[in-house]
Amino acid sequence: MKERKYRKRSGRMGKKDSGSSKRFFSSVKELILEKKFMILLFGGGIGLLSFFIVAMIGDLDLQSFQDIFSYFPEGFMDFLGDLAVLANPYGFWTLEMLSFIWLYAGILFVFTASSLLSHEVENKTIDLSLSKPISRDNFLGSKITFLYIYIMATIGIFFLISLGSMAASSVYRAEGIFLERFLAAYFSVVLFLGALAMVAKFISTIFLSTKKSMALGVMILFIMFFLGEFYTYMDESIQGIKYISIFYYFNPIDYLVNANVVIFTRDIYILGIFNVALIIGSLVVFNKKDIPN
Amino acid sequence: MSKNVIIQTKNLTKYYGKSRGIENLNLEIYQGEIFGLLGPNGAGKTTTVRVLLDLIRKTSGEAQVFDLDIHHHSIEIRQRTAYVPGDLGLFQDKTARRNLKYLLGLYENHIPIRRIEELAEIFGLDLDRKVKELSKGNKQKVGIVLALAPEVDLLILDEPTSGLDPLITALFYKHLHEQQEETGSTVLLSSHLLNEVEKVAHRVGIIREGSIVEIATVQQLKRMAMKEIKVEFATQVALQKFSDQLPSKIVESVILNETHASFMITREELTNILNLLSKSEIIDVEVTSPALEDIFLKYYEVAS
Repeated sequence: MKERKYRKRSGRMGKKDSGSSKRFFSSVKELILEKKFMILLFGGGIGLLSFFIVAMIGDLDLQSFQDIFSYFPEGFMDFLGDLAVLANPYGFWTLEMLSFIWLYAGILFVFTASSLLSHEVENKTIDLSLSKPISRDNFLGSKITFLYIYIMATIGIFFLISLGSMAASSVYRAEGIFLERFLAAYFSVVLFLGALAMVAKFISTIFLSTKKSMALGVMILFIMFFLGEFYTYMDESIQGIKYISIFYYFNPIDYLVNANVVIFTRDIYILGIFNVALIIGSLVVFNKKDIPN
Repeated sequence: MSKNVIIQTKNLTKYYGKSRGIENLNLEIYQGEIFGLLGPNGAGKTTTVRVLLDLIRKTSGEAQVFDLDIHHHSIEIRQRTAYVPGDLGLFQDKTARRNLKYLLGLYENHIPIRRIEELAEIFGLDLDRKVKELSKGNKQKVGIVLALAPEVDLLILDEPTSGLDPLITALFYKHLHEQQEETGSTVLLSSHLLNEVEKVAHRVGIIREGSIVEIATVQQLKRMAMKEIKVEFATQVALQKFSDQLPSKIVESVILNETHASFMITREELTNILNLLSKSEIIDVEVTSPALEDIFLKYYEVAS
């Protein structure tokens, strides 16, 4: 009887892992359920900030910014960079909200990416999960998928609130509501923040430690910010270093204010490559790692 | 009929950098048996279990579970295996029910919630409390439900009763035994609690410094081990006469105290010693078989 039962179960041995997608989505769902309030709270929080910025523009005399900037020396304006676009309502909003999104949203995503995997290692929940029939690719893949859903949902809420606020604002209505530019900016923000988070995720697969991943993730984020934004102040021979910075490929003013399709296409491609390379790198590293006890 | 080998390792070795986890570990565990892996902390029990589950990768050697390579077929193996670690890591902010539903949901086969509730009731586990609110013992009960709920061919239990009170421990082993009898599943029970292993294991493997030093049934181990003889002689002269006749290797272990003598002998020497004693003036004699703990300690004393 026992022998028969054993043989019967053994029949499943050669069967392909048909439930892998079920397990994958079950892991993603579990993470979404865990962070659903965080997504709403954070997306709503940035959205509210954006609402105030949009509302504030109605009371601002943007033309006066233009007049003030015209008195500034050319070299100083070069140093200020994109500041001149403050005179445009979209430029003002982009500069206030998107140019520094890496600081108030990016760091949070870096923290989330750092802790998603290493927290499970530190709490030892990974032992129970990985002792079940789920592959490491599926396990880490579900975390990466969740990370992008988290970024897309949070930024989606923020963009929707912003779009709604702009549609209600007479200043923006007068300027025009550019849905396609908004969509382009949304994708580039998601890919930009995704790449920043994936750097931290990649580091966390190497060290499997939340503290180390966070520290290194934030450190790399700031290094890339300086390389991508201040390369013009470096010696000309080493200015090529800017190409390794994710920040160099994030130019929301070019998408939203100047509607520069060429820059947008280049940035989307390169940010996409950064994301894919970091995802593949993380999966390869994680597959080779021992899960610490 | 040859036995089905469920777990087989050949010279399985795992090094963490320069430090040894397990070294040339050879093991064969058969279908339908409860195999106790015994050893103190640091002997390599958990490393063995974690290598078998592909949580850590072997340095060298071979290992197969269900005749499948532990690395290349790890998903198929884990589909048919339940595992409970001693240091159970659960999702603290979720209820016991949510933890169980998620973790058991990772199996291909659906495990009905009724089965989870049934086991929770048997072991007195409140499924609707958050794990962070549970005591260590109650957290371990979640692990027990995780082990017993799925219908699997292999259970790997690494110190499964740590933190449990004796009543629940006994209840767990009763259920484990019943389930194992009913389904013919195989159990690898890693523990340093010898009295627990002694009660349930069909065979025991003693692991020392990363290698298996002995594999036998509990009874075989006891037979192989030394027996302790305690004798009370009528006079000191009788005691002296008896000790003079003892073989020299036994004499070394004799402890004399006025008319009392105690010493260790092997099973083979038992008949000779009893013959000698029958010719002596004795008041009382006691032959003691050692507990598994004593046997186990012997292996470690030899090493030290």
